[in-house]
Amino acid sequence: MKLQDLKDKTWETWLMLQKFAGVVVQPENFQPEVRAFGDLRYRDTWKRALGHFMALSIVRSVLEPVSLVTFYLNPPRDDWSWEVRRETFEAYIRIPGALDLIREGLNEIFGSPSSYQGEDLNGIFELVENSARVRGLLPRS
Amino acid sequence: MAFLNWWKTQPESEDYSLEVKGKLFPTATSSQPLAGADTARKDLGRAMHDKGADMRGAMDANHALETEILGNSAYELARELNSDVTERGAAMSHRALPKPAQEGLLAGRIRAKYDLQGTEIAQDDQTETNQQIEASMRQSGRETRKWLPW
Repeated sequence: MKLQDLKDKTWETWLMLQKFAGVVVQPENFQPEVRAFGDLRYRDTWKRALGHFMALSIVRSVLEPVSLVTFYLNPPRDDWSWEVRRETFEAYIRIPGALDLIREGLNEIFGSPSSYQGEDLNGIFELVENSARVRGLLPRS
Repeated sequence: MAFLNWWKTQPESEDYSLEVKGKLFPTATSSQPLAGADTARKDLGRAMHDKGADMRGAMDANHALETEILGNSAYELARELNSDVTERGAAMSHRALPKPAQEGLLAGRIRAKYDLQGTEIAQDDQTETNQQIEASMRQSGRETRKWLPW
C-alpha cells in the first residue's frame, strides 16, 4: 500500500470509528490522534494508528467471537487490512478483556471442528506467534 | 433511541432477566445471551463476505443494520444502559443487552442474511460493493423494525 493510500485508509477508518462511537466528527482531532503514534512522516506511524483505529472499530461493532478469529483479526490476503493485520492484532489484544473473546472463538472452533472445516486459522496462529516473539515469550526466529 | 424509549416504559419483569432486584436496568452480567445469536451473526458475516464486503464494508453494514433495528448501535445501547460499559464490556455487550433488543437483532440478522443472499451485488468496485451491501442490510433492518414493538 502506498503511503497516500495508507493515510486515506487511516482517515476513513477514523471516520467510521467516530460514527460507531456515536460522537460528532471533529476533523481537527484526527492529526493529533495519529501523531500520538509517532512522526507523521513515517509509514510506521500511520500503520500503528490505522491498526489502533481498526482494533477499536472491531470492538465497537460488537463482533461474535468466531468471525473475530476467522475474519476480522485474520483478514484474507486480498483485503487491504491484511497489511496492517499485525498492528491491528497488537492493538486489539491490549484492550482489556479482548483476549477473552479470542479465547472464546478458538474454543468454539476446537469444540466442534466439523462445523468449521475449511476455515483458515493459519493467519491467527501466525499473529499469536509473532506477538509472542515480540514479547520475548518465544525465541526470535 | 427508539428501542431505549420503548424499553424505559416497560414494567420490570423476570422475562427481561433482571437478576439484581431494584435496579432499573440489568447489569452487564445479569442478562443471558440468546441461544442462536452467535450463529445468526456468524452466518450473516459469511453472507457479507461471500457477496464481496471487505472488512470495513462488513463493519459498516453491521452498524447500519443495528441502527435501523434499535435506533442506535448495540454498542451505544449497551453504553446507555450501563454507564460503566468499558471497551471490555463493549466486546461482550451483545450478551448484555435486554432480551427484546437481542431478539430484534437476531430476527434482523436472519432476515438480512436471506435478503442479501437473494440480492445481486456487483463486485467490480469495492466501495460500490460495500455500499450495495450496506443498502441491502439497511433495508432488511427497516423491514424487521416494522413488526417490533418499538
